[in-house]
Amino acid sequence: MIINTKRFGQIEINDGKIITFINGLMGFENLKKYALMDHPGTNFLKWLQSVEDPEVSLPVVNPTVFFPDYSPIISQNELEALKIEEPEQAVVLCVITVSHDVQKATVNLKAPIIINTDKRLADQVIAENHEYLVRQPLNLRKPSQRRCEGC
Amino acid sequence: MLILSRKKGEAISIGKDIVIRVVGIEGDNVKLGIDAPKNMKILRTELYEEIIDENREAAKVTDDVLKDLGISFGK
Repeated sequence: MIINTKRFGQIEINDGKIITFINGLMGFENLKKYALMDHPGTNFLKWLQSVEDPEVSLPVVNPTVFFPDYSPIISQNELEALKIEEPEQAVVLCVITVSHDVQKATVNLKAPIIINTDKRLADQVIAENHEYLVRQPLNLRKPSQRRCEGC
Repeated sequence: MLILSRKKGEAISIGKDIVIRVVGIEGDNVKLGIDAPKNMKILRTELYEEIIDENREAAKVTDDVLKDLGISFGK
């Protein structure tokens, strides 16, 4: 299907790829259908574009790119609601907030998004871990500030 | 907001599916037990509001800020 979006203009989505958020996203509970899209030019940034509201799209990342040890503890109820029985069935993404200054970007490790890719079901859940924050700083540095190629 | 007083052990019913019970009271701290349908999200209000605010803020990112993303996230 073709949808209009504020951020990307008119785009074509494969109907079979539409993800159903069983409870919507917190703050957008009335919107249940999203398309997961890549951000051109990067391989880590993706977008959850609402299929129902052209104005709504949230930037998301794979949290393990920045926090390799990320292991959210999720309640059994929430996993069952997504029909997830094995960890391999789940894709975990976290919303990033990049309001004005890219270097002050944060990621929401406290409320990850879990997607059952086979069933195209998803939910934003709460990680029970005390150490994860809603606004976890990413501590990014611009390339000119890096001292060496490998930093 | 509806205000009800409960003693320890007493409960409040919301509709037919939700029960909130005062399980313990220790000084200022009230321990609540909640029975609700599995699909309902139950979380501390301040956390819920913080996540709502953050989702909405994240959705507002503008294209000019995004242009820097490709550079800054470069690993």
